[in-house]
Amino acid sequence: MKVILATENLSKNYIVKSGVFTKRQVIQAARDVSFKLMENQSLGLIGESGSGKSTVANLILRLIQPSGGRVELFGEDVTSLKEEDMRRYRKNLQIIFQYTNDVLDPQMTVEELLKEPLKIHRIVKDSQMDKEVKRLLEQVGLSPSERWKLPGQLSGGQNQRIIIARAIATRPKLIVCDEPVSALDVSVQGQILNLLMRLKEELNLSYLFISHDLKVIRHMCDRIAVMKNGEIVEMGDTEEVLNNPRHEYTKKLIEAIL
Amino acid sequence: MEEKLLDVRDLKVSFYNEKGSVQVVRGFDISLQKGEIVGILGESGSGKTVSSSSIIRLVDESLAKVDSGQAVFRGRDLLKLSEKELKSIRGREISYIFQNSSAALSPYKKIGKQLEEVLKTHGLPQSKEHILKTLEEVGLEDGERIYDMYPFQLSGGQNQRIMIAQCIICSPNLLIADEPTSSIDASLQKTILDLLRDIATRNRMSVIIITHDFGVARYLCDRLMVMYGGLVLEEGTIDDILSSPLHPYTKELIRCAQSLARDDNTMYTIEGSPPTPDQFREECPFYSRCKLREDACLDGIPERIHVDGRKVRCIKYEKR
Repeated sequence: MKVILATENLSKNYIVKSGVFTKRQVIQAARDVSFKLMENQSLGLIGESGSGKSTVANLILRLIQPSGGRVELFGEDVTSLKEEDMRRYRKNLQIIFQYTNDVLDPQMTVEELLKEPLKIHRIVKDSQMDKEVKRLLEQVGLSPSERWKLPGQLSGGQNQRIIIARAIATRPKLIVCDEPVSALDVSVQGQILNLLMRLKEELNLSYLFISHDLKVIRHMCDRIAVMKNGEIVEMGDTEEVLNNPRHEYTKKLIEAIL
Repeated sequence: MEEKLLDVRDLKVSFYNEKGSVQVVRGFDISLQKGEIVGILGESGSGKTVSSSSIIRLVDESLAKVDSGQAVFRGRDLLKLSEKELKSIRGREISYIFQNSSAALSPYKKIGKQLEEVLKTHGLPQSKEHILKTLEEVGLEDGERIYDMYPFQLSGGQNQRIMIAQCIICSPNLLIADEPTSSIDASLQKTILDLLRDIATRNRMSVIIITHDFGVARYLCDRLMVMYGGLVLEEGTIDDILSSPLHPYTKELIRCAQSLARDDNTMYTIEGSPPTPDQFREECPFYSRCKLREDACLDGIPERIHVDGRKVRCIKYEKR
């Protein structure tokens, strides 16, 4: 099986200075994080807020620079790539954010929102653009007639589908999903989970999946990494970790499921 | 002997803007005994926050107006009181924990000072002893030290406890908690819910908890009201609702939750999405998503039917 993403001793330190006379303090937001994500697999990152999940996601997306360690995407070290070279990778690497009112520009129509990534990454010719927008909408379960609407005219679930359509528009191989269903209504959550599962198979995607909801993680992920204070404290196959947790902290997280 | 603390009947609330008005709460009834914990379960836009904050008129009155109804709290209709009379009740007899409540603490003031202010506002003696006792009550053992600390020096869970301390320091009869665990870590959720139950039992305090999470409702509540489309569609004890839901919406919702809990290969879902207030019509709000729908469901908002001590808004039960 092909390795899509690998991190090796990935670290991020923040230096905090709280006052004039206090000593500077180093906060290790991520320390020596190493894992591999295979083609068409999902890796779940769990842990409480401040445990370093989002730091790891941001390091992989190169939204922040690591203090140490390396990230390999599709077999190439991207840790020290220049920003212009990084653009090549961004096409293959997308993120799906948690749906909130400010993720999508409220003044852009659905069509404009979907054309944006297609243009930036020159995915299709201009003459093919309309056809591609319709195809994307159908792929995420929306009717082509929705393309004239604004985000404010759509429900939370429909907007989450638009966010997903924008992510798959560039035909990525890896998608970082950051709490993609936690803001959604109970009756709509399942629809989005089913969609993400279907797309994973149809498009041969790999997911790095961040969620605080272990039930969602269990459904979506082949493997889990449990993070605490910036470190991976336990990693393994989903069923194995959840049925047979070794680390005290993992046990605590599992006990907290309502 | 059971003692009724709050009795809300037929509450209707509308929002106003330059374009006109839209009724967001179309039928909300709740009655609460002393010491009872009642959950309001609903999706976003169902009206759960507006209805419960309207009871103590915490909604902006230039935007929202109570159209009808009454909310009798210990013999007095809260909807008819003057703002001055209400002030003596809010925070003192009825406390409210807001969603995203981390913003409720001032970052500039020490914890002790902030709790002292609550007592001062309500004209109660500001004794340090009482404050330390309250901190202990919310499970903060190191009260003496925390008294002199700032919110940023405490963890998210500790701050959540401080917020609860603020709400219970005046020993209210009723606590309304709007998604009290949605902004804290999953690993702390149970602890905070346990704490709320302990305080409710110890102080004979009633709790209304607003949530969209079935797990939270099942863990904490004695009784549950299921809201959808601005209406309470079903009400009953938590055991009754979970073991034999009456309304088609509740049935479907439970199937969704069970599907995720069982980890089915494909999640069971309710197709479509919940209506937003501008889509509310004089008909059953669940009609478009309901598998048992019939034409008669479109003939007005279904009335509240009593079925074996439970209440449900669905015409299927009218016919029995």
